[in-house]
Amino acid sequence: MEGPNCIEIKNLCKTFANGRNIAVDNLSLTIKKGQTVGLIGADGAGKTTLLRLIDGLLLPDGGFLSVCGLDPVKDKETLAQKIGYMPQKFGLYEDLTVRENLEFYADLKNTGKDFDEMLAFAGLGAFQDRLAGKLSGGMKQKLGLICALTGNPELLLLDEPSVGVDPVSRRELLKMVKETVKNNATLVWSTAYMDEAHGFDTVVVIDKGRVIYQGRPGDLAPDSRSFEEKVIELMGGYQKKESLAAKNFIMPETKCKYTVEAVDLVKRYGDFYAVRNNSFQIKKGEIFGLLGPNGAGKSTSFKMMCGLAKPTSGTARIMGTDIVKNAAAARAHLGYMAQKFSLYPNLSVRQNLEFFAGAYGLYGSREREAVGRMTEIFGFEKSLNDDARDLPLGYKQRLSLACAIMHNPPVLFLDEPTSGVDVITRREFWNHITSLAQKGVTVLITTHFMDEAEFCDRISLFYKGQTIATGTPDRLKEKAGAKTLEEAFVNIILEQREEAA
Amino acid sequence: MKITLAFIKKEFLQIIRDPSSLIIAFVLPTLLLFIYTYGINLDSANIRLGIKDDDGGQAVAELIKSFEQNRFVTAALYGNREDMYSDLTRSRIQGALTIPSDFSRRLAAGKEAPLLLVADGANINQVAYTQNYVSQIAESWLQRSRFAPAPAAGVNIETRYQYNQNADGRRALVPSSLAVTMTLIGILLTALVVSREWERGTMEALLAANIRPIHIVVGKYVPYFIVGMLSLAFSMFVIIALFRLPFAGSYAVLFLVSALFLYASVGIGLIISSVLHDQLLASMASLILGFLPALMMSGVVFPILSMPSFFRWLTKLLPPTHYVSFIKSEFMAGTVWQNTLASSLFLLLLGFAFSLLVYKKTARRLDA
Repeated sequence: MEGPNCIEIKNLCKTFANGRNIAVDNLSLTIKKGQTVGLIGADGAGKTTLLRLIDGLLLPDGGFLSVCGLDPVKDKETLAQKIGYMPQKFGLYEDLTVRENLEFYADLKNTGKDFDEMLAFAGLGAFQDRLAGKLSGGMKQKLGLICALTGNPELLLLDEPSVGVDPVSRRELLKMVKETVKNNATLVWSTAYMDEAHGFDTVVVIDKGRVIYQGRPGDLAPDSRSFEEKVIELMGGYQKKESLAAKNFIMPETKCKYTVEAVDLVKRYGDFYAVRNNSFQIKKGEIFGLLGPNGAGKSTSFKMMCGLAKPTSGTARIMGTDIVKNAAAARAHLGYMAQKFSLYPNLSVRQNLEFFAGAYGLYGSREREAVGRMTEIFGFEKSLNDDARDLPLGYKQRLSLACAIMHNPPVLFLDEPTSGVDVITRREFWNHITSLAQKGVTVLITTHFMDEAEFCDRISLFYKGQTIATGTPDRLKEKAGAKTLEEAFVNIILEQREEAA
Repeated sequence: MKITLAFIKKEFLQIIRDPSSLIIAFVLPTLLLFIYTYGINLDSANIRLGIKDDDGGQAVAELIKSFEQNRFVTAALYGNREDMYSDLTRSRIQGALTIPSDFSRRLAAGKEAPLLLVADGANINQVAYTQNYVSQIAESWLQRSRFAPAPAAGVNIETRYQYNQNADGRRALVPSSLAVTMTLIGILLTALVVSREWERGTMEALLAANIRPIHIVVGKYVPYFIVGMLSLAFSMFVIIALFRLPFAGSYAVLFLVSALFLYASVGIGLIISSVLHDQLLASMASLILGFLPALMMSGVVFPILSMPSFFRWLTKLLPPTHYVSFIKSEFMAGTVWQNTLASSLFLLLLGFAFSLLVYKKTARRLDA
């Protein structure tokens, strides 16, 4: 029989682009059977590559690798029976129903088809005939998970299963996974969320393709907040510097009291209300956070507020200019960073910056000045000629932010700017955001990170297209009788669900 | 086997859910058949002809009447030459015919009598038609008129068309459209499906599961092959039952050779999509590598014999060329065994070579 170790890795190497890009660098790691492991690392640290090597999806360049007593290179097919793997994009067929997806994966693994228990377990029993593409983000994740669980795998590999998922769904998912691995399965869960990592038996922190810490999370720090500080320290530390983005920002003169106003915004598709009577007013220099589960209508509100979607009724005003009546003039006051990376992937960093400078009407010396300023602020010097698509996610987000603020807009709309970004980059981002706000920039932001939401001056909690609570982070916590904002968020939403039921 | 069946089932569910694959398989062929039947006409062009009669005689009036009665010509009479030429310039008429004032006088005197035809040279084909029509109509009028010369002895060529007695271009063109349809299904539809798995990230999940390349290869070949054959049966029904085109060959042979052609086409589609993991690129590549050669280099539209020798040689390597020549003869002349067997053998070998390549190219891992 196999030994007590589920995964044994010695001096594992993997490079891409003919060795120019080192993803896994001489990495050694042992994981005992039956453990739950949180795999933490900055974006581009090599988490996904490591999981794919363990699963036999990639061929290692060198080193020793043994998984469940098998060699992933030689015994890929046998090993596949023992592993449940959930890729970052879940691997679901969007045009098949929930049940059909499950049946397909069960057939591939040659296992029985008694799904009722699993479906009930995932809370998908009522949705088994719904197309996977029509599920909410949280439900897709759960379906992806039970598809990976078919055939009772010995080892469960989950690649950032909680990216972009709201706290409520995240809790449920984590609970489900912990439930299933009770019967001795080994779990590797890669994540960027520190509070999740803190709940596992072991954490493995990797940076630049190497393991920099392995051990019980409790040994590193007693709670998730100080745990994050420790992880940042392990990764080389973050030194808060003066935000150059804010220092070089030229704040235009404004006389409006409320720089951003939403007036009874409604967006209806057929008889479905994506957004229902959304109203709020944001003062100059305020950071206003929109929080809510996936599909609550945050992005739709965002798109209406910057004139990308036409409201069914109601309107929004940016610096007093009506977005419905005068979209172009209102947008001129606006810097917008979309949730999806929306720059040109096959243009270089410099070309993207130049294009957006031109789009904002900056030409000649003003264009060169703006591009130079952004390059300096965000440290693009080395990657100016790289294609945007090849940048690590953190750099992509930096480039998006650069393109959003290069024309000195008095109002900034940021839609999940830190989703999937590592802790250090997140710190840097928030330094820019709070510093810009101090200069008088009004910021409207959505996020799934509750610790980030604490940085907001005011928060509006969104649920099923409606605002269910507004106030400062402290007020909300007080109101929900919670210690943390995350707890407050979960409490308020569960309360709403009970009311609805 | 169970895995392959699961794969095929999944593929069919996706085909049924995705209206675009059903459109490509059934609506598009119907549309093509209609265009080929009613839209494209390689035989005759309808010419609008301007006529200015300077002669004004009774005999010439008969000639003009012949023009007016001809079904390929729409005649417009002008009283003024400037008007006629300005209409020619504006493409309102394609030809301008002037009948000189001494036309009937010269004919009566037994002399040669010229007619002046000015044709719009912007469209060379039309010029040829215009010239042909005018000279034929004028000639036949002359034979019937009182100026008819005594019949001269000489060679008289009478043309008859073997296999297609009416020289009806549709009978050659409509069957060829099958080649275009089958290429579209075989290449375009299949090229999209594997690249879609890459794009949506399901390929990663498949490779992580217990699945071997053979499962993917068979699982992708079979469904699109079946859809292609169903589409062929549907197109044949439309051609025979609705358009009532005669079919001289054997249905069994038609379906067998079509199956071989489809086998090769699906292979091309799968090769494209195993190399290009982006749906947009895969569809562009399949249009350029599959659809255009099927349309332009297979002899459907442009005769292969009039191509330069390099391209003539190249067309021999393309599956649609063999299929088009087969299907034309199957429809009009019946099975010509020698050619049919040669084409079948070629398609079979090509299809087999493609499937080996597909198998080799099918990913086992994400990077190799």
